[in-house]
Amino acid sequence: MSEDNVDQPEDAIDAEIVELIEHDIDALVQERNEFKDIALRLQADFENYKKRVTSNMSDEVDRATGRIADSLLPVLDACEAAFAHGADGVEPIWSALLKALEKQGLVALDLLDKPFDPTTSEAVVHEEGDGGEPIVVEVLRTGYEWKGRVLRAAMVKVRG
Amino acid sequence: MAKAVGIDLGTTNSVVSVLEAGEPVVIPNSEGARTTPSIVAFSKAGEVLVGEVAKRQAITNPDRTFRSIKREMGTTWTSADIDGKKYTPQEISARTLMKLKRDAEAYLGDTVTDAVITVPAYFDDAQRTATKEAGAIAGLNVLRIINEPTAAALAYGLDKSTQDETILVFDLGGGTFDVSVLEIGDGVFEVKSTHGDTHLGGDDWDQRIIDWLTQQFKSAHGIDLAQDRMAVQRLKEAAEKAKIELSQTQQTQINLPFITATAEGPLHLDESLTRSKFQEMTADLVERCRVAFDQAIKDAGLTKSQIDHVILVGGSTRMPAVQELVFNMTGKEPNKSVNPDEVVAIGAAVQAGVLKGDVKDILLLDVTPLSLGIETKGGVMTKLIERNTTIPTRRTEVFTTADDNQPSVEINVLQGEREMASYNQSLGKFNLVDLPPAQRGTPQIEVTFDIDANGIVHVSAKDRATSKEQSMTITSSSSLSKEKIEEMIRDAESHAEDDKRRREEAEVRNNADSLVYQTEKVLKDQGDKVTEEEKAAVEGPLGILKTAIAGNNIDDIKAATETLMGASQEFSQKLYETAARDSEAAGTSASGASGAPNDDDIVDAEIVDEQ
Repeated sequence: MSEDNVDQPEDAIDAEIVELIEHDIDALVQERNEFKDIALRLQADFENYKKRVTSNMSDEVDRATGRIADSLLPVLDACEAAFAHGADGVEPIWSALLKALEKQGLVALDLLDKPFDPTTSEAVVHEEGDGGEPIVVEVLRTGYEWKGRVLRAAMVKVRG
Repeated sequence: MAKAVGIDLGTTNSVVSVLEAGEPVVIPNSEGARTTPSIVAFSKAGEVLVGEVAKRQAITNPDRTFRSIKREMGTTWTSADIDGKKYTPQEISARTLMKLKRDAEAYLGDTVTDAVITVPAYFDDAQRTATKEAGAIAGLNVLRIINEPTAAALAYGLDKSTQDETILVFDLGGGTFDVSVLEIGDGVFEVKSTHGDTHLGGDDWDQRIIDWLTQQFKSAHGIDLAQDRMAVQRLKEAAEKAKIELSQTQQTQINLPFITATAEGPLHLDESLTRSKFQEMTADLVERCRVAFDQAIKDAGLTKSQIDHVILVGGSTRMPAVQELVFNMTGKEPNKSVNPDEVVAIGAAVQAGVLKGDVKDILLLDVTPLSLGIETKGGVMTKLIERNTTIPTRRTEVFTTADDNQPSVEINVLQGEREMASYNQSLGKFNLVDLPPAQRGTPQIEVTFDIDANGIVHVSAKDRATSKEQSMTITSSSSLSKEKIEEMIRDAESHAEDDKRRREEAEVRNNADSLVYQTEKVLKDQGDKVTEEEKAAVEGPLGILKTAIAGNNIDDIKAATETLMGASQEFSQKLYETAARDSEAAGTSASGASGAPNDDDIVDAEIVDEQ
């Protein structure tokens, strides 16, 4: 019985085992890479989400306060209409309410005789003009901005 | 990472939604609104306007403003010549899609490429192809076109059912009404029948109110408000608002001051509308819904009792009369927990997620169903991990001892929502022993709760001084049934008042206890520095407090605590005054000797014995 005969089958077995192990290692490395990728993406997604939530929060606050301001606009409308019809004693009340809201971020839009802009106004009456640029010829209901965003578009009469 | 979105490209309004960490989220447009009117206009200057902006200039530009273009999809319709080009319906729809895409990208801070777009179940091949084309023109990779009722079913997770089921989708939107009967089997949806009314929607309900208001006003003042454009606009707004309010209340007030004027002066509109009157004047509209519903069931070859689920889609399904109709017709409570204006877009986003493999990327994570914590002084449960926390997770808090020279701490691991430990479930107990002798409040014991992805809870307690650690592993924390968990949560809610009171009582006792301990310590250590009277001034209230603690009246304990607190503070002040006098006498300078000692002057250092 020579040593050679015993060694050869052992070599073959060793080589097989090594191959299996290498195969397993490859599979594990691949799995590891996949998970690493997921972890990194998730982390990135999370960080982006955090950034977005922070920047959206102040937006949300503005929108929420805007809703309250919006609910008071009919009162301003009624004051304007009353004033236009010559009712007494309305102006000081209207002025007080408007000023209080302006302090918080409300801006009444001044659109008369300006070019019609659908981002700030809604045309409810249209008059044919001479084919030039459409102009706001009458403001039927005032439009407002709240903290830089259009809160309620003005209702206007447009000519052109 | 580029996101896939779901888009409900509606006749009157469109909505876009995206999956975020597996949950669908509706994306607001650049104006901040969650729905975008499906209106496209080409301004005289050649600018493309989409949404609310396009709506506002419609009457100044009627030939170049397009509404409800969805009605023309799949036909050979083209627009008139606009600046040298004739637009197809898909090119116009693409403009709406482009705005949705752009606004979504701005909001997410990420590119949007892939999309699932929904269409009505009755759309034919040409209509579906046109919709897909619109997506391509908008720069979207349309993963799939799916049916609106199917999307709604997906939003409610109805594709997960293990049996074959029948689903009825009731879609009443702004301008169209569709009833669809779906069958789900093996995760696949099949449309059995659809029926509807392509010109029936919320706007029709609004119009009834407008007509009624106009009639009321004419009877009262002889003026036809319909002739006044501005008045009509205000009536429209008020009517829609009133309709929405009547879904919540039995009666609403419609108040439009200065609606118009005559030579005699201004006129006001002030009407009161009850829900029953509103339902009376719109009964025929509801009847049209019932007719379509009956037909859809018949076409599907079913009886009403064979319907397993009912889904409501479209804002108008919020009206009680409509919900009543649905209930009467099906005998079932409809699914309406998902916002009916958004449910189709949400379902499309769910589908987009599945097609894109998003759901595979993120391992679906569990949450702890109930809060976890330990028992602390006073028999109170101190939570470390709140219920519904996504796992895996880990939380560490530092605790301390309650008594002097306490040799060990017992960690009683609790699960539940009650404030008091005894009302919660104990998952196990262990002790951390051999703590070095120390005054109460000195040791630092780190307690860590670690829940792995399988819901197995590891609790450990480690003494920072000796680094000695003890721990236990609990595998049964997630074995409670859903019903039991809900019961425990309900229990906690119904006992919330009681529990709060008990917890406050325990806290009052704990505070009193601490104060007694502190005061006794100070008296012992510093008693020789003051007079007998000064000592008595503290010992009196101290004795009263100790008696109160032994008793059961919490108010007594609170009062006695305050009294002792006051006496104790005066005592401390005397100590400082004495110390100041002594050090002046000894010739050393004292800082802040006059008046009450200021917290800022106290240096956190050992007090040296000068004798």
